[in-house]
Amino acid sequence: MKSVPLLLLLSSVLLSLHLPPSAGRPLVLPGWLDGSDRLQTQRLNEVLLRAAAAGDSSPSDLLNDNILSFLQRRNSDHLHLLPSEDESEEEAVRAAAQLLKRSEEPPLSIDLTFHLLRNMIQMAKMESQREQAQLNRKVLDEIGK
Amino acid sequence: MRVMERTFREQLFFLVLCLFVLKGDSRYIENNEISKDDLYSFFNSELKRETAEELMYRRPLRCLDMVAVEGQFTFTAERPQLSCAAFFMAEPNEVLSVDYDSVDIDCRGGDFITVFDGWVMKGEKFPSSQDHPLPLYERYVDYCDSGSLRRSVRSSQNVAMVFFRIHNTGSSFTLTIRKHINPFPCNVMSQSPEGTYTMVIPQQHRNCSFSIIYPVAIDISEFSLGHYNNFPKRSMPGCVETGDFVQLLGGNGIDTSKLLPITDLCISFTGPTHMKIGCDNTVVRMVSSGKFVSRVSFSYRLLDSQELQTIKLNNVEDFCFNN
Repeated sequence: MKSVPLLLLLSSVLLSLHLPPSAGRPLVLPGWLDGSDRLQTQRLNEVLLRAAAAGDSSPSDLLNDNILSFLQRRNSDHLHLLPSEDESEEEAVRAAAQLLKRSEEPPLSIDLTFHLLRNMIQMAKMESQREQAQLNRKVLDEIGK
Repeated sequence: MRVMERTFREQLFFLVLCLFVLKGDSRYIENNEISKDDLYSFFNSELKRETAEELMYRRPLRCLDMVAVEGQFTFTAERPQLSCAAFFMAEPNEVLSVDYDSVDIDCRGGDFITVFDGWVMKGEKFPSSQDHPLPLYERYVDYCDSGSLRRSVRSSQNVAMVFFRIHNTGSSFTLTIRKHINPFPCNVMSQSPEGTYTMVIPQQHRNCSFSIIYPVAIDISEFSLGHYNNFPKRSMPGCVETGDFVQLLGGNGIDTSKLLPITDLCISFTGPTHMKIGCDNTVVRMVSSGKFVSRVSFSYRLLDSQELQTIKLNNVEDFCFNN
């Protein structure tokens, strides 16, 4: 009869030793899924909206309207360059105006033919294969030691 | 007493044996030590990333460049370079991340480094605005606008590119390109004119395109859109109303929304559909409503010059041969 509780204790100890180590590791989210950027840009967005709505000592009403409609239309993620809340609201308005001007420039592009693009892809693939071969050789050298 | 001890020992051994046999964990070699010299680190790609500073591939970046390998690329301006672009490319099931390491440019003087999520050629973008999750202005990330806040930019598909302009001789910057696995790739630019691929959209309401920038003979071997096999005959001619279908597009640009449709497929089948498309860009595009798990498998090979000539002669609508 003494053996039964001893047996139970031993079996529980053995089973607990077999827990997979990965059970305790924290879940790592990929970088783009954390929401830290959103909070910051939301705060900046509020500063800008307040600055645009005030409009006393700032530039003309037209610019303010533009800024307001720009902010409402577009996502606030783009406004990363803006100063912190401590600085003056006038500076924030000026920065938003600069951003609006820059965003109206035509998006960047390059004129390339398909022929040139295909050649470039071929060269890049060869480089990639050469590099993979080098890495494989290093690994095999390491194993041989 | 001795008999009881013996039977207890036997029971104990039997129990231990059973536990080991049932669990079977002893066949795995667990190694939680992260050490540089350990052989295990060569087989673990994550560890390789952290410990392999000396193994990282490095080379100078050119004004017009294409990069398909991970590593560090440094551009140093030997003279003012006002319009430069470097294309980055990975395997279909990978995405890229571009990290700025040491940037020495004059933003106020008009220098810029802009990473674009996709490829742009002659004003056309891949993936198109219809197929990409982000709006256009979010796909351009300018270092001068967001430098200290966004040191790393990750692409949504296997291609990305960077535009840069440097006015002052001696200015330089370094980019680190890394590849990351993407379990459900959506938009893919094929690296080679030959291959096979299976595209899966797991119950998401999105459109995905696989772009092959070569004239190819394409074989759609199997696709299923979650419909029942005995789909009732439809009175409408096209597939667009079904919400889930596969499109074959062709044309001379990389923007899939500007390509001409060659055919639509919306009834599930298991049998080959074989087509030869003589266009510079051939795209297999899948439209999914999100109600089903949609899957299409296809293979493709480059058309030789004779086949191209035959297509050119036989083709009434020569929308792909306009030059």
